[in-house]
Amino acid sequence: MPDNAEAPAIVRWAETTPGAEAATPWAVRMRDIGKAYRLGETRALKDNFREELTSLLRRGFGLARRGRGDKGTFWALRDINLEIACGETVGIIGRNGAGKSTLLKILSRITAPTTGEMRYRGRLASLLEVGTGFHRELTGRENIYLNGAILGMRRAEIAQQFDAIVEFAGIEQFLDTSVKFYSSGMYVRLAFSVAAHLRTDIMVVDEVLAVGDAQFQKKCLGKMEDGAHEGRTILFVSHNMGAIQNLCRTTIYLDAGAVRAWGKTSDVIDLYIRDTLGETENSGRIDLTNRNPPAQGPARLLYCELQNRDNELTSVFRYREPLRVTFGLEVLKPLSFLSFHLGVDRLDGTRVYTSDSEENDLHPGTMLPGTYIISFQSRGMHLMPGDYKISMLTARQGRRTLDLVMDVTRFHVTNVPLEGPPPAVGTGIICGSAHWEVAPTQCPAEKST
Amino acid sequence: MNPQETVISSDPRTRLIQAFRDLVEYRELLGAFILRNLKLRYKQTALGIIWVVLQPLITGVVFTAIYGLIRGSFDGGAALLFFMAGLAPWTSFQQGTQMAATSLEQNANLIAKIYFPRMIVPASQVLSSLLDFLFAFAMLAAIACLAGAFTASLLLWLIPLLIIQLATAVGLGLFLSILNAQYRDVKYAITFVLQLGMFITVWLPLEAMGRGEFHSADWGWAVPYLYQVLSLNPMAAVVETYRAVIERSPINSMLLLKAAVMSALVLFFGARFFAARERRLVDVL
Repeated sequence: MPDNAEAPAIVRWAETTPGAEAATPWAVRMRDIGKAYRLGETRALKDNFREELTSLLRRGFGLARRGRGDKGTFWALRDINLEIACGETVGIIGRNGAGKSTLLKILSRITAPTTGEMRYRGRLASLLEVGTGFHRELTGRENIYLNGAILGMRRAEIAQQFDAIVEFAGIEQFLDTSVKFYSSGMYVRLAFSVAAHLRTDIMVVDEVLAVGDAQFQKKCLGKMEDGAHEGRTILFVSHNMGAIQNLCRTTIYLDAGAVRAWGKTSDVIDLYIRDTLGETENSGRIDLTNRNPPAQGPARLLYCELQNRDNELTSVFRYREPLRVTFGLEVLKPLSFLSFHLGVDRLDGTRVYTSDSEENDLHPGTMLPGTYIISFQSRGMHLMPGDYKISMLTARQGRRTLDLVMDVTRFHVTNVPLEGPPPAVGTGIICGSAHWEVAPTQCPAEKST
Repeated sequence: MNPQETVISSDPRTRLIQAFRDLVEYRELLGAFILRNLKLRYKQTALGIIWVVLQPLITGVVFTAIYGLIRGSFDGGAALLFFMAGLAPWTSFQQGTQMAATSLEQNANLIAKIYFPRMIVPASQVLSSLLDFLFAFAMLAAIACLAGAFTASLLLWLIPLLIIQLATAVGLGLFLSILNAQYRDVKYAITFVLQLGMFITVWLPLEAMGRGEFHSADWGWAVPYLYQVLSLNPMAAVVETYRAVIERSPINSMLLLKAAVMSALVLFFGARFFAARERRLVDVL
């Protein structure tokens, strides 16, 4: 089958593409899947009824309308070609409106594609919501059977798992009580418990994990992982990059109705973050005069500017490019022994690097009232690709804080090198220059002829 | 292990095959839905299942009384049997069709969140009205016993007549429910139309019209045409046959044949109409 040849729309982002293990059979396969919505047709319009009726009579009952023009249609998804291997847990990410929910709806068969074809092997269940089909008037027991049946379980299967479901949810006492009398926590636990005990070959999961208390969430995630080990294929849609990172080996990144990237989760998430950052990219200059809480000391930071090697304001740097930061400082009374400290953190708060002006031999002496520009340029320290933030501290005589601004601004380091080879993956947070040497100690003398 | 492959396609032919497979695959869900409908219907009511008997019985008594008022003197037992033979199938038919018509709308949330063959929703509503019918039928049989009009052939006819009734109700329910998903007008029209249907089915003496009993009336010329139209109503044939069995008069097999064909057509076109629109259901609901 010429599957790989037929998938030009896919940007194979990572070196290890999901299709690499050709030995594993696919569980879900999509070909040229597209979904179009006619604009302005989200709700039925009453005055449309006459038109509808006329066309109905003209064409006879049951004949679907064909040959609709492209006019006024919106393609929520277009040319999606995917092949998901059996037993894999795949994340699906993308911004709002990227087509995630449409893809999810097609995957879970809630809506039919306009073009293309999807095939899947085995039984598929979708969890777009916890407790779909629960009825508040029915008892816990009745709801377990009803919900199980809606999710596609056989009655015998539910009966077999019944005790496990009840135990997992911890609602033994309330089994024969209407769920309308349940606390919301109990309700969610029961609903999730049924879902967690599904034994289908393929599961499509939306961000349903966002509900329930943290402990229960963990329990559910664990249950899902068990599922993956049993050879179940899981498609997991989420905005929670942490959950995606934990659960999914590969990830699909949707953008504007198409697959933007598909590959190793960490790489795809990186790209996603970069894209998202690019959108909210700051100009590289941040005003600090109107911050909250306002600065109160006799020395106040006014602004912060990030510059690349070509002195352009930016918040995106290339790998190995020196980081240049300029601060404006206002001094209100004569101050001496001032020192400046610049810190770089990862977004999760890990301090990567701190630079102290005093240690770098900056001794400005007594600074009279007025405004100053403080410049910093990194040397011999390179940040690995990723996102970072800057904090700035102005202090006097040792470490007496005059003005501290945490998380002044964010910046991004791309994996495009300024010069030299691209960064190797998995080699830490920073790379610095170092001195390496090889010296012989015991070595047979080279034979000369 | 060779798991079954499911195909979801934009191509209509593949869809049809898949639709049949799904119905088989999800057969247990139909049962679960019927059970749910039944459990829910009389939850938190004091009389519970008694309502199933009360509804047609009270209507039958009221109709008999009205008829008595119009006629002056009459055989009360025969009149009650006449109306009950009509109301027993009709009430459950009306109930099932009406519930089916709004069923997709009422389960909109479920439909938006999970896949299952959508036909199950209206079909389960019609099938749960079967319980109402069985109770009403038992009551009809009991009244017939009391009036000394009971025959074993009543039970014999039950199955074929029930099939006609259910086929019509399911077909109509499918058609109306999917139409109601897009045009909520259906919901308002259906109450009124079914009310009208009850008078046509339960009150009009179709059998007498067929025999040409109204030829002497001023509008006698219109009766044969009217009969032709009204005899297309499968429920009228069902009702007429029950009456004929109870009255031990000959059964109009032509009428019954028409009803069988009509109910099959209603079911077929209802299902086709449903299937053609099912794929756009979520987008319009």
